[in-house]
Amino acid sequence: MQKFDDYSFDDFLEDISFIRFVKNGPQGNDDVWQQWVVSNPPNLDTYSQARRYILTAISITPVKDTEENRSAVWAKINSRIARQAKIAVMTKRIKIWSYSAAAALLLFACGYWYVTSQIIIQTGFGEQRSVTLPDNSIVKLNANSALRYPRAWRIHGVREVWLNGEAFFRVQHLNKQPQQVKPSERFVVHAGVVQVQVLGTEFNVKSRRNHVTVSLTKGKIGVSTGKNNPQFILAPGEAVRYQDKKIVRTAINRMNNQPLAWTKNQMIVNGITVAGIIENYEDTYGGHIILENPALGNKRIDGTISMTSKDATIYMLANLLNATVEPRNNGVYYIKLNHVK
Amino acid sequence: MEQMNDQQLWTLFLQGDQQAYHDIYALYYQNLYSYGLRKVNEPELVRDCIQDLFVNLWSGRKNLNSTDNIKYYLLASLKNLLIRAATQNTRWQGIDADTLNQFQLEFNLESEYIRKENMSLQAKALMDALDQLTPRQKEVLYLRYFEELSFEEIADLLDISVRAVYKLGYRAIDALKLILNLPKSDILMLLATYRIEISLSAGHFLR
Repeated sequence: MQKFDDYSFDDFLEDISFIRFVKNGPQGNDDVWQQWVVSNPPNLDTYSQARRYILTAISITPVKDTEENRSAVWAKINSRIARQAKIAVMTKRIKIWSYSAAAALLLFACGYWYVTSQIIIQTGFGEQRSVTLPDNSIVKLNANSALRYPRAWRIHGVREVWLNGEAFFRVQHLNKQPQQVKPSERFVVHAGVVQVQVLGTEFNVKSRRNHVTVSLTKGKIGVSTGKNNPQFILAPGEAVRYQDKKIVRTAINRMNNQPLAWTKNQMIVNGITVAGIIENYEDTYGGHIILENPALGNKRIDGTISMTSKDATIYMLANLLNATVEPRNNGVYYIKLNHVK
Repeated sequence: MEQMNDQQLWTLFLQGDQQAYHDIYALYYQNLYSYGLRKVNEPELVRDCIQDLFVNLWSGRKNLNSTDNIKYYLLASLKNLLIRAATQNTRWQGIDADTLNQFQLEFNLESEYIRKENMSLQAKALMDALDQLTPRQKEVLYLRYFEELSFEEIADLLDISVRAVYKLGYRAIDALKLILNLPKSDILMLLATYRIEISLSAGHFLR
């Protein structure tokens, strides 16, 4: 309170509590300013001047809007806020709708892709690969071959694969009651024109150069070229060959080119022509072998040719024929018979 | 009931309390209208701007900060809206930026303060002097003594430095202090020759 005694004119005007005291009068019986004024302070004159100054400064013609206008403005504010809220709800709804639509579309696209897309396994020349299918069936894929099957394997019911090239299958047997075979227990291999129907078994499928050979080593399979065509039931040790709409049924041990030798990186031949061996080589490693004397292609050969690598195979073949190999460009080899002196 | 302070009221409003929102409107509508009309003598424009101000306030409340002086916040927002309305110059062709430099402040000798204090003669001289203040000075005077804003808030609102606010305030005060100190006879003389620049001649007179 004492500090007001030193107040100058400016100090009074800067003190908001003084301004309020002048404007509103004393607040209650113990008003600080009221008590100070009645204590007859030394700067009472300055106090009066400051008081008059403020009183004059606030003696302005009041500006006031009517109560009606105030209410009218408030009503307009409220209606605008209500409209905004409505628009906000609507845009939110539209947003939710468009998001759900986009999500549904995405889901549908993903589903469509999942159901229709295929897994493709492709081997290069000289490359072999072992693939385990979702049902734990094992496919050994020979070189230069492709195996396709649906990504949504389980949704499709029947187990189906498409083969281009050569593969050995060891199919998981799912059937428990031989009298009733459910579709999901079937396993079908599509190879060119041929379909191989399987329950659970081991067999080789070779689909190259427009002919398909199916060789069974274990179990039982049905082979056909379509639903309405006759189905050949193969027993172990039997094979069937489709070529130029002709069907040849045979026993594996009578074939001139043993169908499972490739899984052991071999070619086991029994009276096959040199041309047949060269085809086999080209299917596996690519490139070309040209014989200096084409008649050599008709020569028949017996024995086992190791196919551990491209070079080893071709030199072994040359050795067998008593010939020399000359590599040319672009994977072409030229085979020339050695002249016997 | 204990009256809610600005901070509590504002916090309630920020939380979406409609009663608090209405209370703020009811409390400050007349302050806003009065200040707006003194700056722009267009009642409809001022009401439109107050409308915009409160609609924006509600829809943008999630981005607003806390404040302990609602009145200052509202006055500053209204001033910005008036400036925008004037510069956009679409609906209110008559308003230009120059109009906004006006500040209408009419001093009233018949006010109850003057009559109560029995200070009519001195007050008359004072008012003549106050009348001759620049619009800027009048605005400072109004915001300080009528709206009770701090010098810092006034500086922010008028977009000038606090020093400049003091200077504007003091230039007015210096001249007026002299009047308050003059003996009665001098004031009478002063009033007889009024309409000459009082703030200058008051100093001159004493020399």
